[in-house]
Amino acid sequence: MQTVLQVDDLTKRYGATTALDRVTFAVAKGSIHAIIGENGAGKSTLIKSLSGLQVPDSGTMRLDGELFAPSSLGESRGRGVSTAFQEMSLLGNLTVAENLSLPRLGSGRLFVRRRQYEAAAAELLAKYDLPGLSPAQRVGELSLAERQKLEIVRAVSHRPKLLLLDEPSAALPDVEWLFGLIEKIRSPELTILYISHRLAEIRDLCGSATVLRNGRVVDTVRLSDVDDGMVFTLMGGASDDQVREKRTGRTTGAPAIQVDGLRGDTVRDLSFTLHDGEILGVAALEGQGQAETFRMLAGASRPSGGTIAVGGRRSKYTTPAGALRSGISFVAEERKAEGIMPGISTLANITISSLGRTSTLGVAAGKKEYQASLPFARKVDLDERYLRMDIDALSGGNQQKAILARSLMKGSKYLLLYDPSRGVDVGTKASVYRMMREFTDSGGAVLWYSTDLSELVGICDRVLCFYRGSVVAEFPGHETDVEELLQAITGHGAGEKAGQS
Amino acid sequence: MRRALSSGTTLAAIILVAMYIVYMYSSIDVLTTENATDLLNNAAPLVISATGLTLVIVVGGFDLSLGGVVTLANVILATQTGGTTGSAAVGVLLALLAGVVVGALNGFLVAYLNVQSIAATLGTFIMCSGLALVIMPSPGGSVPEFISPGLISSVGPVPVSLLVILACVVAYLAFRRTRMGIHIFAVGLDESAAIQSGIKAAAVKFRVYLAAGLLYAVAGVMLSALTASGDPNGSAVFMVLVFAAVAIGGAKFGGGRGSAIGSILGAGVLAVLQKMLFAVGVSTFYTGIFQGAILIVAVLIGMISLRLGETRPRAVTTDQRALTGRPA
Repeated sequence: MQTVLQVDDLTKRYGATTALDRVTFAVAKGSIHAIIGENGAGKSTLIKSLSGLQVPDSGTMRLDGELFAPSSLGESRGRGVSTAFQEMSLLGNLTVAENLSLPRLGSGRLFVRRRQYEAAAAELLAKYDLPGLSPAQRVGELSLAERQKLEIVRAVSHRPKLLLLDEPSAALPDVEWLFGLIEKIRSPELTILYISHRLAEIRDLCGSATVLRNGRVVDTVRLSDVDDGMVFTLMGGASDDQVREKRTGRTTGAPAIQVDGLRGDTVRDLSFTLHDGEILGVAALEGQGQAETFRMLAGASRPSGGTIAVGGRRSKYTTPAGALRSGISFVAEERKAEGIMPGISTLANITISSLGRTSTLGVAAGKKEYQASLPFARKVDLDERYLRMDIDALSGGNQQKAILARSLMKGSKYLLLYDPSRGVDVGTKASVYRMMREFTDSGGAVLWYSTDLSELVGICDRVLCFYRGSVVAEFPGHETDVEELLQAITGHGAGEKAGQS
Repeated sequence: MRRALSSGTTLAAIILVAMYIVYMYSSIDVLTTENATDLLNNAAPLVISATGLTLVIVVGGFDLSLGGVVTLANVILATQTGGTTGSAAVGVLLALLAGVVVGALNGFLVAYLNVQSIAATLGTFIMCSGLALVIMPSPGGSVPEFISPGLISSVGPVPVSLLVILACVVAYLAFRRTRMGIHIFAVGLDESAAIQSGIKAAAVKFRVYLAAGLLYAVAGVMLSALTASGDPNGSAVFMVLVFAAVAIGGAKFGGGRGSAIGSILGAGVLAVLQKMLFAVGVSTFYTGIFQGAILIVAVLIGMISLRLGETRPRAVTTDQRALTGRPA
């Protein structure tokens, strides 16, 4: 079999993190080859390298046997590689036809040829079964699914010999259209690299798959030779599971936060209950509605339907301040952007939300402030000496602890933690876990989203699996494992244990 | 209708017409050729600069060098001593060259070195102002006759200023039909998406700053025709008015939306306002207050009509973006 793409030892580093680590694989001409992996496995870096948007540090790519080292999108397109990006690359202020014909916009030398490219667009839309779109329509007016389809059609329209589809079904309500299109364009001359985490789709389309984990190729397999469980094991990697004390047989208290039929832009009919004394985990791949859910609970985003009840009472807050008054503290993932206030001391960062308690007649009293914050700093293992330092000088992990201390000091009863352990060191992770346990032991409740499935398994009382904006499965923390969660959050084998709450 | 209203151009046109009607009623000799020419002469430098600035704003940048280039062009012309048409031509060429050089420097800094546009152009603005003082330490001098009164007079019955303004309109309309004319909107809205669509974003930005620099220099020449003399610190108010014209015209600071036609109409609004206030006997000291107020009102109306005309994009933001407020 002829090889169309050969990748050898491809490596790309960003600072201290290695996004791609000696990635090596080959793709047969005319095949549909899958690239699978969890969030952060290196899929998008690979796509960017193949598309010419990013130059790898070392390693080589060969296309039809010839060296392929594109340094711009134009160059990779010129070599017959075309990409439908997950982070969609359409321009909302331009029309459908303009987007489809960028950057050339007709064959004119100086002026664009609108009639020409609008006619070409109409032809493409008809050919690829998008009759609902009109060439002169602005892309900003399209739905997310329509934009995704347009993005794919645009990539196809360049008549590539290698087509990269990056999560092409992520925004589509069903795959019928996509599969129809692939059927239509398939030929011995066209190779498709299909990047997805939806194993069911991959099985339907692809013959072979390369599995990435932490920037490395774990294996390249013929899909007919492996069962789903094996693929999930390859993706998830049970090996780096640290032994964690599992919580078993805990009884939890009264409902703390009840979410019923919540709806929003990315949230569809979401219902769950968080109890007092409970650590409730949220497992989800990127973009399944978890971010919006957290924002709604934190008062930072308004639901379009459904109810939230806090402590048994229907809540009416619509601002973060209102959520705080209801006892809800939200620790966002982007600490730099939303959490810390740079330029002032760690101490001030901790006490800023509780100044009422540490000030006399509105003037913050240094000593009182210090004394008051000390127990909370201890609770999160934040060393006392950091309190007097500028928060900017602290490591990410210690900043995280300071933010947690602030939330505790506010006296919140409910903590919403959005991926707090991402990118922090093992020691900090451990203190985050301990803090959560202590917090819930004293009656608080924690809703915790983490991209690291293995830690959810270890720490949570229950884990909710989000998929396309709703809860598709729920597992007791001590009975589930990474593979099971992975299956559920990829929309695969979901529902087996759903509806147990 | 909604869509038309939500475009800043329509709004600016309505305001301009309304203001002109008020102006007509305020004074009997508004429609004399002399008065009309005077108005056009006042508007021309604003119109040209606003055209250039609009391009920069649309592409997602900011350009403070405008004031510097205008001043530089002005003092270059005011220090041309020859008095002949030849020396005037040399002066004009030097002035335009200065604009191109400053524009190229801005473009290089912003597009290729990724310096924030406000910082880069603030730097070049200060440099230009400094250079202007070196060329001409104190106000005075006079510009060659070819410039003043040449450029504020008429060719037959048609004022030169009108020709210049029409040239701006025509050039912009033509530019909108070029590849660049569409690329600037793409880059201004979302640079990485533009790059992923195959657009060479850096080259687009560089050319925009270059073109803008040239246009500011032309504006400086026209302004010199109006003032007839040199002033090394004279452009601060002018620059603010150009920004106001662009804002009235509905361009979105931050990029991706705007039209030079809107900005040109915005410049017209400011010029007519000045005349109108003078005609109804308001002291010129108050002009600034009214200009500022008009700016705010126009932007507010623009925002409201934009909201009315907006078809809500359905869940365009991804979940991740919704959380962090920035691209994932």
